[in-house]
Amino acid sequence: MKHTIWVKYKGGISRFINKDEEAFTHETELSLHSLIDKIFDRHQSLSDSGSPVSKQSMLVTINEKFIPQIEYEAATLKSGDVVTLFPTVSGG
Amino acid sequence: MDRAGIYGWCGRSLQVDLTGNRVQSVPLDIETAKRFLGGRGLNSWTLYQHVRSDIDEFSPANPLILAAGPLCGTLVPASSKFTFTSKSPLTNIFADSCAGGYFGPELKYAGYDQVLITGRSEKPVFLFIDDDNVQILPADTLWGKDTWTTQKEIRRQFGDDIQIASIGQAGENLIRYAGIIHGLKRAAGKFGLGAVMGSKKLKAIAIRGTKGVKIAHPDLLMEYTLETLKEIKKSALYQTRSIYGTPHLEDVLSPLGVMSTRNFRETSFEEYEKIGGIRLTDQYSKRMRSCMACPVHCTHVYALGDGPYAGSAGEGPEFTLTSMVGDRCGIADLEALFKINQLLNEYGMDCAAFGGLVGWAMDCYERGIIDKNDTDGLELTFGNHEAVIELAHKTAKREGFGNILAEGEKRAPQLVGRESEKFMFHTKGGIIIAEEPRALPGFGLAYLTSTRGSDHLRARYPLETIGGGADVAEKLFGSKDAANPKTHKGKGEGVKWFEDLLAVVDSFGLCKFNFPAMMDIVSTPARLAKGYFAVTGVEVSAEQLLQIGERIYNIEKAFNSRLGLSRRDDNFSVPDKFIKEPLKSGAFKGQTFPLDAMLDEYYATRGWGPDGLQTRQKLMELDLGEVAEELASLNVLSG
Repeated sequence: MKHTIWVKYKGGISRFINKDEEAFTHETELSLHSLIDKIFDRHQSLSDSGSPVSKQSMLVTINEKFIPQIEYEAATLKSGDVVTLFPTVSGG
Repeated sequence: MDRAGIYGWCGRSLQVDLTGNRVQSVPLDIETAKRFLGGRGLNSWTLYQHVRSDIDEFSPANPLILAAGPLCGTLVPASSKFTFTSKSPLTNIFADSCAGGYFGPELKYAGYDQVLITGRSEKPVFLFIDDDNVQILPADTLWGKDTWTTQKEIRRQFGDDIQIASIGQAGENLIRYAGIIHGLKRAAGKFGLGAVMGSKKLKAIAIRGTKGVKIAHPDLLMEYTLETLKEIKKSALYQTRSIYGTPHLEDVLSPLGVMSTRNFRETSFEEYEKIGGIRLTDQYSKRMRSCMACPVHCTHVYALGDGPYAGSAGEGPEFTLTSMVGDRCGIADLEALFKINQLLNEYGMDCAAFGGLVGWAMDCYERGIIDKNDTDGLELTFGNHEAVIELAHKTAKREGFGNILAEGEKRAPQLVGRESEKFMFHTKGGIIIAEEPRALPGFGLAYLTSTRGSDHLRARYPLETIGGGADVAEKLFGSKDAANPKTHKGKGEGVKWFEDLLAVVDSFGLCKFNFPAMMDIVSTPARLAKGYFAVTGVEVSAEQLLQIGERIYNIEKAFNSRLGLSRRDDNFSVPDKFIKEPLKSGAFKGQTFPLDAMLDEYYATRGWGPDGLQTRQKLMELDLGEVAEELASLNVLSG
């Protein structure tokens, strides 16, 4: 069975890769960590200097619920889940 | 005093007595400067010494103190900040307000670290500091003019090489949240220090400085500057802040469900993209500007060529305006926000307090608490930007309903009555700004523990929203809790650490957009200590520097304790709203604000008592023995 995860990009990330959303399909369930690796593989410019995020530096929601960084390792994604990535911010 | 061995600091202060029309240059006590650094810290100590009772903020006895720290005006990146300090007419407690631009460095170049202004002039005046030639000059022709016109006219008379900070009509009319404006938008905007300036009949301070800042170790400073620039430019935050400016926060915090929208009715503004940094950059921004010595250039320059607000121009708007006048009041018309931004800067009025008050009034109007009989016929529904523009004029001039809004967050609901206070959300008279405290408890705790009333800039608590915050928390505190917005744990310890750090950042004259958020946070105290040594030659460890920050925080706290403030004041004006009512939407749905648990941890970490008062032991540890004695004599020490 193929697992499809929908990924949305917000703020400066969407502008940087010129994409608001896209799908990632995989043969097995994915961890959030693995998904982030896949996103960075597909959009290699995210690893460049000048990127608004790094793998260690972004905010994440799954199905519109905030995921603290401490829960990234344990977070497993089901088919149909919506993951949203936000650039890092520091209050106004 | 022999100034030969003094680096970083200028070694001189000005004392200006507006009642007696006298100006005096006095040596800076360098030992006091080392204890409180300069800028904010030095001002906090000076205010503590000068205001020893609950005086009327508009009385001649309330001083207005200006200072620029030892790193201000040097090559250190983002070292442009100056600080005004006084007792606030908005909150009636300790207050200061920082701003960037070019004014702080100019004070240093004129040869002064601090200006202590006391008394009250009979007629409008402005202070002209022209290196060693300091004069109190008539300002009759400037009185009644806005901040932009005032600066333009002073420059026309005295030359373009002058930096000026001025009040507008709001300061003259004693609007309790009037600010002091430098340039087009650099605002020492918070807590009504412009009204204190207006009460003294002081229209502006103009400075021309032609001296430099003496540097203890120039080669080390050059090395330090280059490595710090490199660090800033490689940060992910730099990439978005330097392109989109602070309004980029709209593009992130609103979809996350963190924005206090329509006076805290919702957590996200459905039209946030219309007022966010990306649209502003794409469609309106002419270019970006920076403060002196800053690589981030986070300020947009705009000029509207057509549409209903054609001719509106200026710098900004910053996130504080888009969030507090935009989201808070349900306004999605960015061009209207440009116009409001211009008006508030020209009148010299704090956009956070103004937006908060208008959002409250709109909420009251929609609930039927007030109607057109109260609002001079204005239909104050959420989103009505024409009404907000009209209210900006009325408030600055204290006309009609604007005269009520002019009184600020504590007094306006009292004047309206009818239980309208249930919908005014502040702490100690300072408005609660954009970020929802229930979503970001650490950020919210800092609203309550701020020494100047609700305010996000005392801690600017980043760990919950900055990527990699958990790793930073673990390195600093041995646990990732401080970065997890789903738990109350670790927030007291985290907030205390950032409060102390930012007391140092402010006191040095640096911008907290850069320090520490755009660099490795854990090593920021050591980085600051290195810069301090390069500039002043004073050697301190990172730990000693944080302890100086703690001393500064404690002297501000002591000022408020002396006025009778304690734990009961470290609360929201409407506690149940945040403590008992769960968030209804957004990524943090269901969360409430665990106030008592976080305050307990915070006080314990600070070494204060559970009553929120300082302890003798902590004050002695911070070399504030004389403060401990005074607080003990007033029975406001814990235990």
